[in-house]
Amino acid sequence: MSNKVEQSNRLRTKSSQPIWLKLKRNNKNQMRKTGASTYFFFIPAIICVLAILVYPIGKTLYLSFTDSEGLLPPVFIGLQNYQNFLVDPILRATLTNVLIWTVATLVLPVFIGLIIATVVSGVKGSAIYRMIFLLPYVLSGVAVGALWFNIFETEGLLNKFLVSIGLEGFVNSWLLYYPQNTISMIIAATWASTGLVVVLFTVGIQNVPLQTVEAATIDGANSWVLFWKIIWPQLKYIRAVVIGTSLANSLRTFDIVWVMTGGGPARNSETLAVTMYREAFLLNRYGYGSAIAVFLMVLVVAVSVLSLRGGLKKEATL
Amino acid sequence: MKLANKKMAVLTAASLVISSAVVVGATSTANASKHVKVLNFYHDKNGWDARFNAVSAGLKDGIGVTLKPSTYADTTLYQNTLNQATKTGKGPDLLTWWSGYRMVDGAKGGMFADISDVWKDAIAKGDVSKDLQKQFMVGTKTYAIPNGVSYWPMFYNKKKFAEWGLTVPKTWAEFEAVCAAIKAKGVTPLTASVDGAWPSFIWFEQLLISQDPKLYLDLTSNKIKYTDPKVVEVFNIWKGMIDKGWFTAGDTSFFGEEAVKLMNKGTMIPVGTWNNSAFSDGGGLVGGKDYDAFVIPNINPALTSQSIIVEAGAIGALAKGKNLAQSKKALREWLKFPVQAIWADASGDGVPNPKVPVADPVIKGLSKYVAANKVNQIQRYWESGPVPLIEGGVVILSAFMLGTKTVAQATTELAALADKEWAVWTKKYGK
Amino acid sequence: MKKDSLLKHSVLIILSLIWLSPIYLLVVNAFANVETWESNFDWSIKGWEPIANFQQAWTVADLAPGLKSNFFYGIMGAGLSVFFASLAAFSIVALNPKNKSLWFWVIYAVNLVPYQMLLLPLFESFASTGLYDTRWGLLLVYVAIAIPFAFFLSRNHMLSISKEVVEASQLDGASKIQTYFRIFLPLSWSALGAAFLFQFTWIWNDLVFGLTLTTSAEIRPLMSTIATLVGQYQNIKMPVVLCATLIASIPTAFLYIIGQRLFVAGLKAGS
Repeated sequence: MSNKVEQSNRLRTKSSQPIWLKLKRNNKNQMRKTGASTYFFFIPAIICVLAILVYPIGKTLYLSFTDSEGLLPPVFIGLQNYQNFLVDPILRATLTNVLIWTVATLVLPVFIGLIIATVVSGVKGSAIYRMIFLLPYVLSGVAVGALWFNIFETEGLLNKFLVSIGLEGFVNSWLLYYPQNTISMIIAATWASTGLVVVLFTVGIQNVPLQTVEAATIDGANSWVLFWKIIWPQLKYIRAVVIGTSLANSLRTFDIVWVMTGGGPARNSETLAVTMYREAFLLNRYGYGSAIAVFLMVLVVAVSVLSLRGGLKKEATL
Repeated sequence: MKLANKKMAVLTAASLVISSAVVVGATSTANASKHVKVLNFYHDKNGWDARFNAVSAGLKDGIGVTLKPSTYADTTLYQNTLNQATKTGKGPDLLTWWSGYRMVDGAKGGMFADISDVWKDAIAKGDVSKDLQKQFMVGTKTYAIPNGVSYWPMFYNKKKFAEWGLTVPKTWAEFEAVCAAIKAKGVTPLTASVDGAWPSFIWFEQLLISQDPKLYLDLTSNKIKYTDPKVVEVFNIWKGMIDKGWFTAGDTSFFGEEAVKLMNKGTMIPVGTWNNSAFSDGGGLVGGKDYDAFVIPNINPALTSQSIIVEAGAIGALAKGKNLAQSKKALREWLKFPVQAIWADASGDGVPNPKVPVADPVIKGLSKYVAANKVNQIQRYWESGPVPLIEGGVVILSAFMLGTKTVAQATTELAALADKEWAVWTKKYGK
Repeated sequence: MKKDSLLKHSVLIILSLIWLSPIYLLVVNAFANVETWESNFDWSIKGWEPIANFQQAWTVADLAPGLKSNFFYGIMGAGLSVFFASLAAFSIVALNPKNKSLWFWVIYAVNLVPYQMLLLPLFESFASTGLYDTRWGLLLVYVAIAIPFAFFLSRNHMLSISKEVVEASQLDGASKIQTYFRIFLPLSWSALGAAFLFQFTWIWNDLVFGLTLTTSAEIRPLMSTIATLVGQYQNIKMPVVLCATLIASIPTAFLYIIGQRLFVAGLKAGS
């Protein structure tokens, strides 16, 4: 690598060259050209993405301006669906829950994942520890759903455990009432997704040059200084991935809520995606459901743009 | 790893992947033998593939047509996929669905083919009773055949009853006494659930028809409101039972193996007779000896007859299906004796064809009782109103069962929802 | 130093026990004796019949076609999506095309759409283009949906590759493809490996796209079959269902175990 740097320096300082050399050099600077071949590299990705995205987004946008329901032909009604959604009594609950899920996901899996990734990277047996935290992510949804349902249900394992250690007073119907059902589901979701965060941060931590770490350790830095001054800055790019992805996913929380509580009781634990699903899929109100979907999408895009712009200020790309 | 070796490794891996892809991707679906027509049959009944395959064998013998069942594990996704299939014209030949109000959108929207002629012939040949036809009709046309006919009785543990000195209650007072007695033994007397919201209608409909079937029918056809004092009275009776702690926790399940567990404890379970096989096959219990079923007594002693909730699933043919003629033939054949006998045997439940002798002792006893005592057969709440009203209704009922809403709140909200949704329904279909 | 290490280990052990307890419950209840099963999960070991339960799960659930399909979807889907994503990430990071921002957001946009929104329109377009109930159709959907996260991860990881390396390669006369294969790919090995693992797992565990866009047993992915083992009309005992889900989870778990070499710790010093 150092040879190459020397080489490039040598090449840059040589200004008076025979013309044929200069021409040869220009031919070699193939990468500098932003020609068609540059775009060739991301054409496969673009094609796949557009092939899948264009029609669904377009259709959803279109339907959101209609009263499409069930098998009936859609009739254009302009912004009616959006207006109805803004005065829908469920709006407050559903937005509150989305906020709760987003904050909880940022605090719990991301924070805990970071700590685990850092601590695990520096100890023996890191592979085993990482595997332990990854196992929940590997399990199929049916297993995870059945498992946590059986843990939290009234006749379930958590209550049995509480009774066995003499804490009968704490026995509760964890899934049947709000807000404990949301808290229970957040616990299950944290369990399932922290492993992912651990792996992502591990990928970032690996980039920290070993010499830097060794030098700092020899200088007497303890773990805290090591983390804050050396590791944390290096995690800049991975951090953006973790936070960006967590935000996008938590705003769209659906599966765990739908499976464990169906958004209940009395629709108290519904998130935006659940509300959308309920209207579109359960009640077949495709027009209204599409409007909620568009609303959700705009929210996710806005939050993503804000968070990514903030996190990568130095990056000229955005 | 040297670059050359790396390239080799990547190439090897790539060729392995590509060859596996070619092998796997090239697998074509098996071709049925040319002279037997295969009808695509979509359903959302997990675990019923075996039954449908048995029916398929019967159809093959009868008219040389077989079924290729596809299970859709998620009911909501199933319904929406079929809506989409109807709109695009690419779907199955036959499908399972729900009767009553749940069929209206499909019938008017062009999902189901009109099979009134199938019914005409079947009724004429005595393969099905004319009383059943109403649930599958929209307007003057009929759009599906019944997929089994299930009663919703009270299943109980006969052995435990004997052990505890209890007899099948004939009046509401006796029923309450039985519940209290079971409670005193430290066992929860009755199952109730809000898991998935829909089970909340079970006790709602049951208590209404025990009070007065006409009350239930008027309520579900929007002739009276949910805030009507007679309806509120039923809610109060329900609240009384909840407060006495007679019901299982809201997140308990009451079918399949869970039902067997509860049955073995001695809890009484109001559930459709489609769950009967869970007790007999799944739980190894002997019908008539270990467990049995009774019709829940009337609350109102002035009533002259009892009522029982009936559920009839539907099987229809997709109107734009490629093999519509054969599909209709298959539906006609489905109602005939041989296939119905196969279904009765495979499902352990009641069947629409009255000529088929009921094999299962519990169903037999129940059917005899229902016929002998002219028990009113009332359609389930699930099929008895516009879909958004029912879906919204069960959410409110679930909240009521959990104590999150009072009787006043629940009935007021239900009334408001009913007003809204009936208005939408009338605007849509003008009824 | 030793106290530091002890503290770290204690924290990790406590967290590990918390994380493992649901797995313990899963395993204990999956291997419980089916005959005496009381349809309630339990903390204690109620019989230990892994072989019998696995055998029953295999026979009852008919997992073979789904497993076969899943390997195809998982390997091809994750492989292609990571490959396409890394190409796109490389071009945006190293090749400086016009409208970098636009291309980034176009590709990343799939990650922002609520997936339910895709289901019914995709059914519609698949039905009319004949892609419905085909392996390649479903594969295209998996690849497309898996690209954005892999793209985001590769791009951000590639940003951390110093500019000097890129310039040196340029001046050395390497073509774009050569730079990609010789420099970016090796340096992004762990990020791409992680992306492959995650997307493989997502594709492997997918239920809704499989249910909506396919119907034949040979084309359908595994979870569509697994999900039919529970429900109102099913009589299968829970331990057997759990064993079926364990069978379904073994390939992904195995993949992570062999993929661990990608995540070699960079902080071995000083522990």
